[in-house]
Amino acid sequence: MLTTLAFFPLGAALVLLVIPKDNVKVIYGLSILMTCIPLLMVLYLWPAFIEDATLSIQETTEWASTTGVTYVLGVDGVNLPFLTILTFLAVLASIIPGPSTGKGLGRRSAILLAWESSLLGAFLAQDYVLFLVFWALSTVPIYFLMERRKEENALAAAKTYTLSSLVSTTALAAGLLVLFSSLMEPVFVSGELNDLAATYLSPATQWWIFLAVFVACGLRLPIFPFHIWLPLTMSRLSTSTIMILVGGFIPLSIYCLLRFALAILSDAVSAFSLILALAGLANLLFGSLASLGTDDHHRKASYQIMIYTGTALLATATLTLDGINGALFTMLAMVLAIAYSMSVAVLVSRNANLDRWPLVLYGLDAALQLRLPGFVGFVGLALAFSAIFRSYRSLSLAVIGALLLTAIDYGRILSQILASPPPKESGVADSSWPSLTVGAGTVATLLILVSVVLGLRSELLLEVLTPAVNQIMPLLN
Amino acid sequence: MLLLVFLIAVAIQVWSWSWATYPFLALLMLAGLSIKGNYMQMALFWQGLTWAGYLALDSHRPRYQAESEDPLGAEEIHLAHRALTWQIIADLILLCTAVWLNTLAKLTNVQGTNALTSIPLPIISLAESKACFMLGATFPILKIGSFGLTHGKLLFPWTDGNTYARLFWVSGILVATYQVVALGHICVPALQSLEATIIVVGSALAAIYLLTRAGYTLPSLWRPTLRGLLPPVGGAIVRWDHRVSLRALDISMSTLQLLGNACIGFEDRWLHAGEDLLRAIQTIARLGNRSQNHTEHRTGGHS
Repeated sequence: MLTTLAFFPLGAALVLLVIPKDNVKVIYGLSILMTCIPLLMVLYLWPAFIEDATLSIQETTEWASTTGVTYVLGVDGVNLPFLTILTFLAVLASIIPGPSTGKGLGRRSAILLAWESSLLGAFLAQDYVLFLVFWALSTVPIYFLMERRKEENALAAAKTYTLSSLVSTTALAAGLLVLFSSLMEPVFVSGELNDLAATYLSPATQWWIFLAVFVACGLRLPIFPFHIWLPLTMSRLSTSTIMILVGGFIPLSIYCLLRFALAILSDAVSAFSLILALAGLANLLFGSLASLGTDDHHRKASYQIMIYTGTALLATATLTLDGINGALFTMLAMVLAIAYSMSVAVLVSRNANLDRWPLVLYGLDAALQLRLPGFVGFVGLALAFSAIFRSYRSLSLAVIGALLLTAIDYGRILSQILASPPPKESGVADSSWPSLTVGAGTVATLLILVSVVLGLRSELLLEVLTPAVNQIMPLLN
Repeated sequence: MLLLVFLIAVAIQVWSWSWATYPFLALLMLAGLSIKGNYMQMALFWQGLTWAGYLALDSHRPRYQAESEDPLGAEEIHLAHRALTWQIIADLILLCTAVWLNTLAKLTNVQGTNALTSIPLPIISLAESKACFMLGATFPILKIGSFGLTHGKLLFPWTDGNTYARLFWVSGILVATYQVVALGHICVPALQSLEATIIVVGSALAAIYLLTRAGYTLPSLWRPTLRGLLPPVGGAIVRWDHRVSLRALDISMSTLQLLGNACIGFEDRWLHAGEDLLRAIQTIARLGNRSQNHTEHRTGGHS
């Protein structure tokens, strides 16, 4: 089943490519249907994990036995939430464009499905080399999804993304291959690897491996000052592409950091925890100040991602169970909040007839970004803050400062809406079915609902996450 | 809890439907009165009320546009900004209190306090309980105070004589006062007496009144300082980031180009060296052949 889950979107992508380009409605409907199937498959796994959170399902096949590489896919309580949110966002990414986007829909949907496949494979992979293969594959689709514009920075975006993805993949390859050759243990599923690493890896080797994995993940997360690719690249991506970017591509790096660095290299993690915390602090302060300074939705979203990753890194650096849970919830909140922001931007920019809605839509956006109680972001913030407060009391002020700056930013946006002249009645009419407005409106509503349900019923997720995190990281405080 | 969320969702939907708003108002206020000392439910209720208020406020603008070219006067915009600021400050107070309560519960390992979903009380020490009450009371008072600034011409333009607006505001004040009293009874046991309750009610009403008056009279701190200073700072950071990004890209690309050129130069040099070597070998071979031919010629083919 896990192999089917990983490769079903790829098969679906091939099917979409076969359908004639002019048949846009069929492509649109089929792409929604095709993205729903992996989501249903992941949801089917949940009851077993709710019953026993320490459960681990695996599929193993001999692959390249001479080199010690094994084809192992697995699900446990740590990657299950990531898989769920990725497949959910893939459904939303297929809903949002609407068939009015024209003939390129089939090609774009196929690439998005292939991207989803590579990301699912990376989350499922339980072998270093297999993970590396999927990680490298997941960097490719963005090249084909970047919109071709005659802007001054269009080439710069492509160049920065190419450079950062090359360096990131090379660094990860170096780190993982050293880890793999040192341990000769292909599966990284249990906490036993921590003991193996302590036995076979000297602190110096652990540090080098940690540094390599940290650079790889830092480039992708992104961590200041490696973030330069994100604002440039995001301004060239469509909303549906950004959904997958925040739904899987960026969370994959925090997952990688958790699996390959925090769960295995305990000596290095203790030594580097302060650097992790400082990186988080830099992201928080830079992201919150920079998002104040731009009105461009795509750039603002990229800086908001930095605020969330900053909080997650700070929480991770505490090396406590609350901290890790807080970081994972913060990433989940990031996915939902950024996806909501982008769908609201589409709704407002493409439909001028939303006479009384922008203030409410942006009000909800502000509530999500401020992580107010009732939304999933609050759970992440509360868990992360309590962990940060206990470990780095002075740095916890930065989290409050970042929230204050976010509040000022949204106060500014809402007051601009209040003071701006009302929209004219004759807006952009989208006559095709279902219009982009319906797509974006559906997506925004679903995102708010999921955010509220997870915010109010956070214990459902915590009951699965906590034992699973404890299992892979037995040395947590 | 979910019923409350449902009510809020329904509220936003029916708000623009004028005749349905009266029964909805009753429902919303009943929901508000059913909340007793639960921070999370208070948060949800007031957030719902805020968004419903925003919706009503925003729906007003096109109507004014149809009547005149100047939909909102400077004074109205000023008050709306002030109201918005108070709303956001109230949200921040709520957020910080909730995070503080959660951290407090974690630090002291209070059993049975699941602050993430319900934020129950009581808190540990009396001082903390009092602080919790003060912060919790500030939140609804600020929220309803901010509506007091906008309830006049700006809200609910479809109702005659602003009857609905007044009803909304008065009901909101009653709910806010009730919630403050309920919170006080739970957090601070000394407030459970009748005299203390009367004092709390009086103080809450006075605070709402003074807040609304202050909103009309006091100079705004928001616009000249925070709004004026921080966005340009953010803008400068974004421009710096953009410039540095492009420069870093230039440096990376030119470094790569330099490395590439060096590699190509190195390769060229090796190629040239190889060619020179080949030429030397060929020369040597030719010389060898020639010397052999010469020897053969001199010996007449007999070596």
